[in-house]
Amino acid sequence: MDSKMSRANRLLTYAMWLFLLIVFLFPIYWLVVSSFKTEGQQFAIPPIWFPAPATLENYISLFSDAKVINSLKNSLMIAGLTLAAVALLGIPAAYSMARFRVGGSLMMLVIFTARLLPPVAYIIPLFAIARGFNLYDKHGTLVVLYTFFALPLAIWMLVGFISAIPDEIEDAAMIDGASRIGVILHVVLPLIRPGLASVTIFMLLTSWNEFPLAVTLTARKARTLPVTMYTFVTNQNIAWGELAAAGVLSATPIVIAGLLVQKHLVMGLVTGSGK
Amino acid sequence: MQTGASPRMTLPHVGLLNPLHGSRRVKYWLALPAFVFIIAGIIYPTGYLLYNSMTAWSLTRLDLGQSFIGLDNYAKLLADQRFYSSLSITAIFTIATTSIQTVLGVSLALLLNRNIRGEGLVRTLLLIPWLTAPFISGFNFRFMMAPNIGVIAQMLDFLGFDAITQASILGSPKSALGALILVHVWNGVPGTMLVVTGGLKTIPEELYLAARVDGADRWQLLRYITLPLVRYAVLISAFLTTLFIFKAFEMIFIMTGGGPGDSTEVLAVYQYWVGIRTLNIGYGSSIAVVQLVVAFIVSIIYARLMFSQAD
Amino acid sequence: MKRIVIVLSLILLAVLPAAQAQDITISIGSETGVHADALIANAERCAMEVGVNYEAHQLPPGEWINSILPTEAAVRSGLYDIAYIPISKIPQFVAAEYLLPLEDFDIDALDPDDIAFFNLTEYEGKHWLVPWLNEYQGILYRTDLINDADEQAAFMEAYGYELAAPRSRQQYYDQVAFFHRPDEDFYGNIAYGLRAGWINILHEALNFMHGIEIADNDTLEVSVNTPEGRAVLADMEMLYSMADPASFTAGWVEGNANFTAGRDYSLVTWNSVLLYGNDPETSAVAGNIGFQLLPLPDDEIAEPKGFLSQWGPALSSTSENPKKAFEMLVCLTNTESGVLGVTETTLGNSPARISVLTDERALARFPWLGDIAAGIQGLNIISTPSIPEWGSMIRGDVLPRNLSIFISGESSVEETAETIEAEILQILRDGGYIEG
Repeated sequence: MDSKMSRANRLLTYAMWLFLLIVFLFPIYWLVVSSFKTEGQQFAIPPIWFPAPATLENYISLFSDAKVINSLKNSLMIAGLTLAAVALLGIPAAYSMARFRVGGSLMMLVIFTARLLPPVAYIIPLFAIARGFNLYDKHGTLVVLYTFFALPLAIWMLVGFISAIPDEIEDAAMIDGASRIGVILHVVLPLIRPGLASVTIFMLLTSWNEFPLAVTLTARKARTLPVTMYTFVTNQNIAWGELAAAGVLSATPIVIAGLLVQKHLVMGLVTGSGK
Repeated sequence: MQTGASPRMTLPHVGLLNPLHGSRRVKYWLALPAFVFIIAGIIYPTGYLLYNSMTAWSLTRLDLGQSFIGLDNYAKLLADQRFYSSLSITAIFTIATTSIQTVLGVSLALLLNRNIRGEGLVRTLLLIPWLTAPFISGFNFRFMMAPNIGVIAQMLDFLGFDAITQASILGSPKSALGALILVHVWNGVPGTMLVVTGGLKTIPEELYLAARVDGADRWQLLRYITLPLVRYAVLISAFLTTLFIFKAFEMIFIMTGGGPGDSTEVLAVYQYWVGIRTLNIGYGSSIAVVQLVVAFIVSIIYARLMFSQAD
Repeated sequence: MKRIVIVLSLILLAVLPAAQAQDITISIGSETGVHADALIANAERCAMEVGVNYEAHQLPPGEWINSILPTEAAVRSGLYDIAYIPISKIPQFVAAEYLLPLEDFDIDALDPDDIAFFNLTEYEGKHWLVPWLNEYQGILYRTDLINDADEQAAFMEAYGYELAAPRSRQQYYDQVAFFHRPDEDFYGNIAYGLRAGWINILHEALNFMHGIEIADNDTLEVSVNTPEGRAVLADMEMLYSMADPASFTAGWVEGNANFTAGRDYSLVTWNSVLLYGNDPETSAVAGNIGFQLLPLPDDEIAEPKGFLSQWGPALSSTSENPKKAFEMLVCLTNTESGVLGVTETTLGNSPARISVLTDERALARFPWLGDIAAGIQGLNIISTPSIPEWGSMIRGDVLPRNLSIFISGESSVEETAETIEAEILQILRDGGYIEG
């Protein structure tokens, strides 16, 4: 808005930003320091603002727990596969909807509906199916389900990005002899790369933190991080330190991903919603 | 939703121009797998849910089996005080959270949209609450809000408000819902900010320059240029927020379990309580169906708003 | 030659079971948590002894018992051979025909006489699980405070009798009032008030301290909206008025954390809190906690009743190898396993076997096990009514919800008593247990 800001104005802005950051990030700060506290320090009075020396105990016990490592691997794998499945199904569909209005507004409405389904309501049928077809405790089961819950929003966002690309660019490519698939791969995808970044973050949020389905459909082999984390809290010992550490651990990859695509995140939604 | 927005949507001539590469059928084949997947994914479980909602089926009494009882569950629901209570709590919770989050999100987007160094960094840091697992945040706030030993109580004590240090924020029916609303806003506001910022960045600089030349002040720029042009982005984010908050469960369940009393028992919690905790699958399913219908109506209203916005 | 034959047959004998072991896998389903972990800790050794493979599925506690196992019982997919459950859920899983009675096997192999209150696992004339954890309700209180000379003098002056371990309901209430000092951020008691099953603990304990049960185990006669039932609620209100403010939101974690942080005089709870209340690494009051088993014998109570929670492994009717599963169960719950469960795990267990409670190795770790062993001799322990609805609907929903409304001050003693009784009766009628 204001490209040339006065010095005073600029200082004021920074002061305001600092205030916002303090208010918004205080709970995060508290989570992080909690993860460096011993159990005895957690609920101390007065509160311990900076545990000195900070204990790494929580992280050590986390990383020495085979279950945690295993579920971290599972979560990464399931999130990655979900992302791939969403891309494979979602991009062509979104392209076709954006370019040719395939499905029209009816399909858009159907896609909305898919967003509305509360996962908790389906636990029992899903469990029955999973057991009946030997899909219990399998990575693929969660990938399919997460794809289902993530796909509608992905298509919805992608339609926005794709329809913002001028047709002339594609037409030119087609005249040069590119196939429809070729156009999607070589023209459309590079152009919507920023949009893909924000879709990716949204998709990661869906699969990475999901709990109710994961706890019902996995036992040992395919158990994801949120389920493993949950067992710290209900363990009769106060494992708040470990839980906080696990929380930090689970948030880290996604925050790093967010930082990496930070510029694209905003840019992506420019074309996505700025109609 | 973009359909109404873009005048370049229909291009039948593309296929005609390139009979070899752009066959008319390709467009259907591209969309088919996703459509089939989504539709199957809606029909099967929703059908199962509907069927269950018309049966008496309790996992507590598996010996009684599952029997078809028509609309009895719905009749029972209509006479259920607890259902009406949770419906109105859901309404308050959803409306309050969505409005506060939207206003705050727009304000944050405006405050951050300054084109000076550090803007991107600050924005990304503000995204962290949104990226943290909700159930971790739920526990974090539950412990932070504990009376006396919670860090919030201790800060209040330090600031001299020792009278309320002992107050239990989540333990009082007067404050619990308010606290949950704030926590959900905290969790969701970065998403709103992100979408609205996207809208802000599309506004051409020239519009502001021209308006300034005409003598518009800051307030007028905001009122007549910025806000009208981000309305669509604001609607989208409000829509996503409404849907998300309407089915919010985890943080509420962790922080209050629906209590104290019934004061934070939203529909999603009530449905869990009936369907999972007391294992009354039949009755729980009928609550889920109502939840679905309400959410569907809400999304049609939003869809209309957005369509009319785009035209 | 002879020698070779012997060696060969010995090898064969050793190899055969091992070869068979490849075929049979016993799957154990349980929650995660102190006592379930202690049970699973023995699984590997027992699998070797029995000659099978094993698989342990440990799931988050609430989900495990409230949704996952009931769902599996409905689907009957044969996921588990052995399921770790509490006695309160026996009727529910028996009704679902999900459990096998121990009478189908050589029940004497379990040495049932050695298990305290094994009789409580009896339902419809048969036994369904082998108690592994026996948790008794009681009062945790601060011994350092009642042994303090100044406090003793002040108490004597105020109440006219000596300050000592609470031996009656009134003594306990007097002590709560005496030590309730909110100005010093110290409270007479802390209770679990979160709207979840934990909130039932104080209510149930107070019922037993009044010598009544919420409903009679045999006749299902409900005594909530009775003079005694209302007196229980009034006492509950009184205790909450002298409770740590954290009580109103405290679940298991916060309740125990506040008490072990030394902020409260007492806590009515299960004795397994001692497992970590006396752990110097996490508790500020380690070594200063006394435990008084319920019931407290008041003069006016003719027949005091106590309450305990039992958890243990049960056999699933969907098991393909019930015989091997039973052998596994025998090993998992024998004295050796019980002792190792106490001594070789991070936090230990509150064992059900008398031979474990009196074992020297176990006592070396937890001397208070001896008090439990002595204290349970004369206890008149009862269990909750044996109907499926009691565990899931009444203790899972009716009681927590209405008690939460009650303690947050939104309904009176009379209203609460009336509502709870009406809702319980409705469930009993719907279930066809009573007329009307």
